[in-house]
Amino acid sequence: MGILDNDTVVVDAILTKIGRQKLANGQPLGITKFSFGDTGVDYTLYNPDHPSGSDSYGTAITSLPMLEAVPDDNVFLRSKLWGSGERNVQNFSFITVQNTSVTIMKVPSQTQSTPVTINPTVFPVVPDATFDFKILDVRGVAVRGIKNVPFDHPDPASGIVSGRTLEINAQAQQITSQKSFGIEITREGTAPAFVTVTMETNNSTT
Amino acid sequence: MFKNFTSDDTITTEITVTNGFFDGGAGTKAGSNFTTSSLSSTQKSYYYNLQYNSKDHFSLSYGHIGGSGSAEQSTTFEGTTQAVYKQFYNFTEPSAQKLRDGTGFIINEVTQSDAYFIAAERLQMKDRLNPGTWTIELSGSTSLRTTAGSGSTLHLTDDSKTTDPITPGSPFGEVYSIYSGSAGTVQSTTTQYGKFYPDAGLFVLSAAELSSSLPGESGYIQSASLIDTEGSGLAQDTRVADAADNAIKMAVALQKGSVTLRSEEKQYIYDYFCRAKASEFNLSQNVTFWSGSDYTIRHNDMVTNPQTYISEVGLFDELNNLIAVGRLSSPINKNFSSEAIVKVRLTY
Repeated sequence: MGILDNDTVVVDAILTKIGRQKLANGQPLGITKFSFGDTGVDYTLYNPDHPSGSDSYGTAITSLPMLEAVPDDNVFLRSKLWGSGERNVQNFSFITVQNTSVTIMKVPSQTQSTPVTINPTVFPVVPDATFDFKILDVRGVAVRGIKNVPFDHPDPASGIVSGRTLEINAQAQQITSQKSFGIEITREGTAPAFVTVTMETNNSTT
Repeated sequence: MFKNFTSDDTITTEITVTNGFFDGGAGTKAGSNFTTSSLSSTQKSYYYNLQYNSKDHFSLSYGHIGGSGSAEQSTTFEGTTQAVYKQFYNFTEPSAQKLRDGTGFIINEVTQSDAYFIAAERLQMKDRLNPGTWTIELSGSTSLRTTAGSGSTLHLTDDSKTTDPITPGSPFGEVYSIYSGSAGTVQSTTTQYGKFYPDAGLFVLSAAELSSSLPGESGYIQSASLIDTEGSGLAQDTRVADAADNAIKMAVALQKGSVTLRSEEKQYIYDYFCRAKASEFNLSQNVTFWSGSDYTIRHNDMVTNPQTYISEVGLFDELNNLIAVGRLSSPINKNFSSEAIVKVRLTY
């Protein structure tokens, strides 16, 4: 009779940039929830034909040394684990968008730009599905629900809004050089989509 | 998928972390490692800095309640030693009445007309100095002889291991008595050599008591030029003269002795217990978990018994902002037959 291993895994966590900003501003961290992730795990390494049997199917995954955490909140936790009892799941729902690359164009002879709307859909179809849109750099961006951050702000800042669609524009007369940034579109239990947005300059009428 | 913490899932612990005081975390350094930093002559009339590894570690000063030992002192001109003494007294004395009356430091039940001050560099001492563990070894000559004699050492420590702090203490925290001894073990309480203010990183040492134990040779007392010769000591030069320089004597006594000292820092550990029940977190958003354009599960044997691998834990706020992230050293297999508890520790 062996002794059962009842160890709890202990992980030293680091604060992300957002966490540090909160502390610097004198705000509490306000941690209320957690999520497990498997960013960096490649399930093609899972080998159901492993000669040592089922206990070893995942050996290539569990034996791989992990990268340590970094403060950038966009590096890790990009793919989260989910599920609360679902079995016999054969297909994963996924998000699609018409264009994975869009451009916010300047209005000719003006310092305004024309907004673009990102309208994702989920497969299998879910009527009135809502999504989380994570804009990885909101500097110079105008989105309802996110406070405007000046285009020339020294530090990148991300922002999240939820909804069925996302209308996004450039702040008028702010964009002094063309810039591209990413938007992650997520929905629980659904493969995410990614859209690259390019903003044209709009700081002059020419 | 996010899972909310319950009140049982978070625990906060306050810990005290101690480290060696010296650069690189060393706890003991021989005085031969210390050098005096370059300061202007005006600065030196107030204090000297002792450096280790080219970084300031101690500031040393001498104060006299009446200004003796200054370059200049009169009824119309306050000497530097008087300013030093009164600054430290004002800083440490909790009694408004004594401050108003200018009573002065009372050590060994005697009002001290003068004192040596050792102030630790804030960067090195962190939150405060660790009481009950330090030793300051001062070296000098034991008698006022005119010829060089054999040197002696005086080991000092505080009485915090066995005695409650002095009451009333100071406006900012505990005060302990300094006696002869080492590493918090007091050898004798016959002579109180000074007071130790751990929160301020300050040692106030009776010049009279130090002078009595390690006076140095008579020729040394009034000549700062003799600091590198044998026969150094801590007997005060109480002249009002340009040449009077007592603070350097403490620097020499330390350079010929040694210091054992630790810094102290309070840290708060926040432990978050992240629990995955058997039925939870068994599927993944990871694109490699699925295959093909219709996102079919990649491995058929996972349809009825999905296997996921936890490689990271994220702590989020109410707005789903990722506040802290922890990575496991190796992924944990999770399926319907297993539960996982990961304790995520945040320290700051």
